Amino acid sequence: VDNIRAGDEASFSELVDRYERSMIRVARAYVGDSGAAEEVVQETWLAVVKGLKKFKHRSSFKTWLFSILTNQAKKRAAYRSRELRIESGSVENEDVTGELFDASGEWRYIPPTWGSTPETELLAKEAVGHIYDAIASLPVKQRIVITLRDLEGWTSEEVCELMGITKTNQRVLLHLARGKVQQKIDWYFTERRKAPAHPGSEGSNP
Amino acid sequence: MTCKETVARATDYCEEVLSSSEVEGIEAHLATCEKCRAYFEHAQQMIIAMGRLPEPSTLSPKTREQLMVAFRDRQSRSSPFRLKPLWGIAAAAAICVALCVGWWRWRSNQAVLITAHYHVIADLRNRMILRGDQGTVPGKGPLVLDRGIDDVSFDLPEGSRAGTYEVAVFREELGEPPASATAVAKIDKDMTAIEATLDLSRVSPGHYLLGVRPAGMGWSYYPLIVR
Repeated sequence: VDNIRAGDEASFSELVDRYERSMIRVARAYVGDSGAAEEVVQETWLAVVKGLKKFKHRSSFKTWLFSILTNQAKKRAAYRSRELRIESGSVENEDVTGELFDASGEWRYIPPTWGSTPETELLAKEAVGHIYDAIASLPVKQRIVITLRDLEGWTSEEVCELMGITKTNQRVLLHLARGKVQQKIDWYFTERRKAPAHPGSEGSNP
Repeated sequence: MTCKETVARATDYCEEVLSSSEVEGIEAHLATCEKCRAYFEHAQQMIIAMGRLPEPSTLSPKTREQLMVAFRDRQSRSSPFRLKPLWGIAAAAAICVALCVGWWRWRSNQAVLITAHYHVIADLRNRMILRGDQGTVPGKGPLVLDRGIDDVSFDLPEGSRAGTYEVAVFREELGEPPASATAVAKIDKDMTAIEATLDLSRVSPGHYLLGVRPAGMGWSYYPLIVR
């Protein structure tokens, strides 16, 4: 950062390289489409260039950068920030896995097997599309938490700091988001296995 | 422990926030329940897979170039003698560029004059809280901020938590604030501080209330004079 303040263009370029993909992903979690996300990232970097001398090492550069990004994204999609506020009250009441169980707390159905090499199957092109769709259909706060935690690998502390939420709240949002994405992937595998005559719907994973 | 209760704790289990007896309860259930075991295994596989999703695309070359131009422009303005040579460019083009650069500098200077930005630290500790959860507390006099300020560090009262805060300048009768900002508070050596970019250039001089609140909470108000 100090090199950049001194005007070193290569350092600035390197910094953009390091963060642009993460920023595009997080911006997309806020504003939805990728065109708007690119604009948010651009505006963020322009604000960084302009405000670099205000950065005081009181926070990590990453936190500072993403708090600017968050502000830019909220500005961009005012209706989404309204959505954010409405959501904040009702988070804890949602029961994401409730419908999977009967009144006594037993499974209503058999969770489908994901195949013998689930990880590679999950990363097949078609499944990846379903994961992205599942994430995109989440309410915005859940979408942001799962993007930061599971796609970008942030710690829970970093997420709480950026979003200004408590640890408990962060866990609730993550639980809801993961639960919903997992259910969608379950449905996807169930549907897919219906087509080629049930290869072992009861089998356990290795 | 039922299947439903076990699955409801999946994230807490992964995040390692459960007590040892709860962990034992879950593990005992998983040892005997194939369905819940499958659910937990899927959760784990899904988390791993999400961490390895293909990277999103980078910025477009055009956007990237615009950023680099903005960076260079900023740098050349802070060191005014680093002018680019215009030799070799056709006369007409040179005039155009000169005009554009002239206009751009004129406009930037205008912006700088209006916002004339500098940075101040406003200490909100021990200042009078007029409304808010803690009632009325006597303290130092009102805060005074200059209209030219666009960047303020607020030192928050002791015990304030980190996170996103809203800062707003309210008229004494409240209503829509003429200036507001959002910023993330940091805790440093027991002191919570927020750095907010607050544009006071369109706030007319007079008495105001400075409102500060953590996102989603109630406002605390501090007397404020804008000069």
